[in-house]
Amino acid sequence: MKGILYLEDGTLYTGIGIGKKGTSVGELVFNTSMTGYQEILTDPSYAGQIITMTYPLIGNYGVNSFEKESNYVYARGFVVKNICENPSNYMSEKTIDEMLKEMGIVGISGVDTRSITKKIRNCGALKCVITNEELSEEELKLHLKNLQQREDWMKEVGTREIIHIPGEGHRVVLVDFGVKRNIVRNLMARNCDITIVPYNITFEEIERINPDGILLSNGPGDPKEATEAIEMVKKTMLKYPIFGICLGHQILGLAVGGDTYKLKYGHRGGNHGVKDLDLDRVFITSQNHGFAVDEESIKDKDMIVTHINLNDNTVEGMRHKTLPVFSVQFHPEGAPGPQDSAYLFDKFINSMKGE
Amino acid sequence: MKATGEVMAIDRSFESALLKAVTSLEVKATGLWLNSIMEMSDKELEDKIKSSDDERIFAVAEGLRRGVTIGKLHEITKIDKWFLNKIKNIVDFENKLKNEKLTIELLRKAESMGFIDKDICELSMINYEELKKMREENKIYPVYKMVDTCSGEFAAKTPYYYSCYEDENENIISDDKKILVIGSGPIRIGQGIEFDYCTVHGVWAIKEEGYQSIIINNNPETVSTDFDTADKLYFESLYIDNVINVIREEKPEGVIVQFGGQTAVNLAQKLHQMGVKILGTQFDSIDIAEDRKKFSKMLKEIGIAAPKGESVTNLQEALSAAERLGYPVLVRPSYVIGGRAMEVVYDVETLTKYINEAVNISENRPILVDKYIRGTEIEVDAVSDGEDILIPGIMEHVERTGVHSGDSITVYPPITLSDEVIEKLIKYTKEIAVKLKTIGLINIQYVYNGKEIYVIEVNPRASRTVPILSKVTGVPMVKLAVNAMVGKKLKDTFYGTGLVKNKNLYAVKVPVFSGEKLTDADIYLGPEMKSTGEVLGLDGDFDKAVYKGFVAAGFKIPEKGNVYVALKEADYEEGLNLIKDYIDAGFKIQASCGTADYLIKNNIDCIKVTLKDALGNISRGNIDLIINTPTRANSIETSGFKLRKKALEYKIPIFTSLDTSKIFLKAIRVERYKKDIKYKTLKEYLFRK
Repeated sequence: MKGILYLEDGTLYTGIGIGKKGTSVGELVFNTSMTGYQEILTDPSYAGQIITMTYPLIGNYGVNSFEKESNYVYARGFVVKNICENPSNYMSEKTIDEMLKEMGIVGISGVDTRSITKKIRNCGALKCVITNEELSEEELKLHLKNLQQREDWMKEVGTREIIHIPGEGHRVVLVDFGVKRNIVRNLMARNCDITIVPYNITFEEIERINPDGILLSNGPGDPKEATEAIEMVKKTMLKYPIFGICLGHQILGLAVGGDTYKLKYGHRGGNHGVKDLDLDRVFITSQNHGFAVDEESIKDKDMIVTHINLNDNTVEGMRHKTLPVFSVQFHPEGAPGPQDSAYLFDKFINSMKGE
Repeated sequence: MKATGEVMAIDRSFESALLKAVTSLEVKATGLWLNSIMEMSDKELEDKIKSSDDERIFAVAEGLRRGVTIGKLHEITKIDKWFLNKIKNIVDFENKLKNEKLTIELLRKAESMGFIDKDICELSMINYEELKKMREENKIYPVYKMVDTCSGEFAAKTPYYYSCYEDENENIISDDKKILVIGSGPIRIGQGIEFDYCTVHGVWAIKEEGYQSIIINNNPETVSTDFDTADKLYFESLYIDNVINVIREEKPEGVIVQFGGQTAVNLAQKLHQMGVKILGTQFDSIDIAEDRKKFSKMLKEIGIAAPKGESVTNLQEALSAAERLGYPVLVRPSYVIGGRAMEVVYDVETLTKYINEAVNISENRPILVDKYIRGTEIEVDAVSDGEDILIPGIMEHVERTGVHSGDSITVYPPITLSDEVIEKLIKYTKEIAVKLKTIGLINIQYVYNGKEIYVIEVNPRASRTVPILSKVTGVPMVKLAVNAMVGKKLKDTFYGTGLVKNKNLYAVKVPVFSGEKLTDADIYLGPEMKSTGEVLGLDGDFDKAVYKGFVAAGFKIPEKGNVYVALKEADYEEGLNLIKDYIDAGFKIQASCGTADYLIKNNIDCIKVTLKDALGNISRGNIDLIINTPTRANSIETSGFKLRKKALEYKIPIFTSLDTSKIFLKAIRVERYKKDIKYKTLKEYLFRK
């Protein structure tokens, strides 16, 4: 089965079709992690995107039921160099190809992923069509033309209902913009009593839950589309400790009156060096974001930049000057990637204690 | 650990990286098959797979070829199934090539899986010209990817590339004049780090001469494969196909083969045939040096003697050649590294055994039979510009001929040679270098039997001793060689021509063996090299230099105690004086039965000790030094081998040559009389008056 990846600039890559037979359109991004493909695929933050893995061997240890970050694959497509047909791992239950088929994801293998990466590096994230059907160039173009680019995925991928996970410790409201399961696991590991709430939760509803703190989760899309959430945060931050992660961090940035912008090709990988300015220490972090908080825009908003990305000096974390409100752009929960910065969850717990 | 070196290969899939790495090993295989393993019965194969030796990967592949399941192989080897499946992919693809017509698509896949052209031809049963045409017409050539350590996420400037069959070529080809240096591949006994020294110094000199320097090599342990040594690095196999692919990309002014040891020199012929410009000594000259007929003819023309010898292709020829030459003879396969399988043979019986057992002999694999000339071996390294030569220094071997130059203790400057002999050596070296049209480095091994000087071997390339001589004389040999290659004359340099005046120091090179690790290898000294490293002792005083060398090589130097002596009959007479010297130095002698009888007959006080007792004495710490000249070496059944293993186990100095035993006395005397040892930096030796 032939597979095709067609970019908006006219570049055509031909390889072998994998996953579901079909055609899919989205924004082409790359991830530099060597492992963790299962967590990456099930990370809701990839909604609407087609993921290229830069590491050439994908699927080596198969897929299992324990390393999912959500129940679905929200990405639109998967692009790899070599796909492993015979994974070897004691936990493996199926191959990545089988997983893609089950989840209905179109994939392609056998393409020069390094050249795709360089393309994205130079042109920025591109629109593309991925297909393993026999499509003419005209049809490919038509698919691209018809793509309704959405940036409001955070309204769709999170929970629709309130879910309560009882615990003995601090009461946390987790606003689900597309939360990764490992964030929940990290809270559970700290005995939190967790209430996972939908994107459009209001300040008043939160008040009724009466939590000790609020965690704004990661999620897909442009933070500016999350208008209801921004409004909610504006109010809640004055009353509750807040910890924002990734999209949650960007939403907080907008809530304090700052601005966000789209990065050329984002940060997606497991080895981004980030400096914690408070601790004067560098951490290797897991990342997945296409937008960032504008440093200048938050300077006069009572916010202090606490973390910077060492590759491009973009904002990776901030905190409020007086309120127990802080956030990071990267993923302290790892999954996949280093968990060196899991201390931030402890920091959140401490802020709920009033420390 | 038993490996002496390693290779690394980089590619976009495991299969191709593995095949590239196997090709880089420079063993008999380029794919995953070895004839010796393919000829095995199923039972033999299973035993081979179980034995986990250096050929296991070929045995595993053969198992898959014969239908052994992944599960069964995993059960035997515990190799992760992931790897076994990848090896199976390679084996399956072999079958595909065998059974299907070679289409363009299939060829592209075969190349991207790492099969080399020769193997594709063999499997697909097409001739090379056809394949070449398919490649040319369809532009099936590798592209080069940069190793940037960031997956392409950021623009990087690491000029470090590997080949692969992909879409995009990232190679940035400069328009500057450039010179390509071919490295020496993995470190093996006989081809060690010395060639990396030469490669790296070569690169520096090339840069100084204003060229862009490019290296191809595959050894991750070396400095030449640091990404910032050369202006550009290709981490590639040194198989001719891979080298030609790089040359096609880069189009350098010329290629240097003389620094990369035999690996690089062996490429000279093909490069020459393909019209690639070789810098320095040309292929024709290399060929003369390596083809014994052409070589003897050349020596005859300039009137320099060489041991008589013949090339034979079967046992009968070998026996009659030895008859004509007279025993002892030196036998060895042609074109090998490090004197592999070389032996001094004293009689018909041993020669027969050697031909039947030790080597593969055939029309295409002749054996060389040479008259063995006993004498002092001398090593001369020189730089030649085609007209003049510069000899930084001459080195003399402590052990007589028959011991591989890599395993002998070597001394700079020579200690036993007269001025007249040295004059002759200079004259001969110049004549040979000029006659061979040598441009660059040349290494000549001579033997002097007290009357005449014979040439044993000429290597128109860098040698093991180039780093030593460059260090102890301060003459940058490799740099001068590069200068000569780009047309500069020696007489115009600071160093001039002829033999450089001796420096005010003695340098003693002592080989280091890894006997404790290589448990099946016998450490007796012979024409086959066994040492894995070397050290250098430097001092203004010869005895102290010897002492420093032995100490650095890890010897425990006894001041007194018991010496166990077991000599072969031929050595009795000569051994007598040596043993007297040890007694004079305060040692007591224990001797094997035969040796003891002889010593007692000659009024030397010694205790007769059987081998069994000697082994016991070693374990009990009653023996401090062993002198054992072996009769039948290389057989792990012999009593001598057991003795040598035991000695290694207890770290007792053991010498298998009377010459080494003799020079060790100097170290003993330094130790015993607590002579004052001073240490100076090399610079102090070289530059202080």
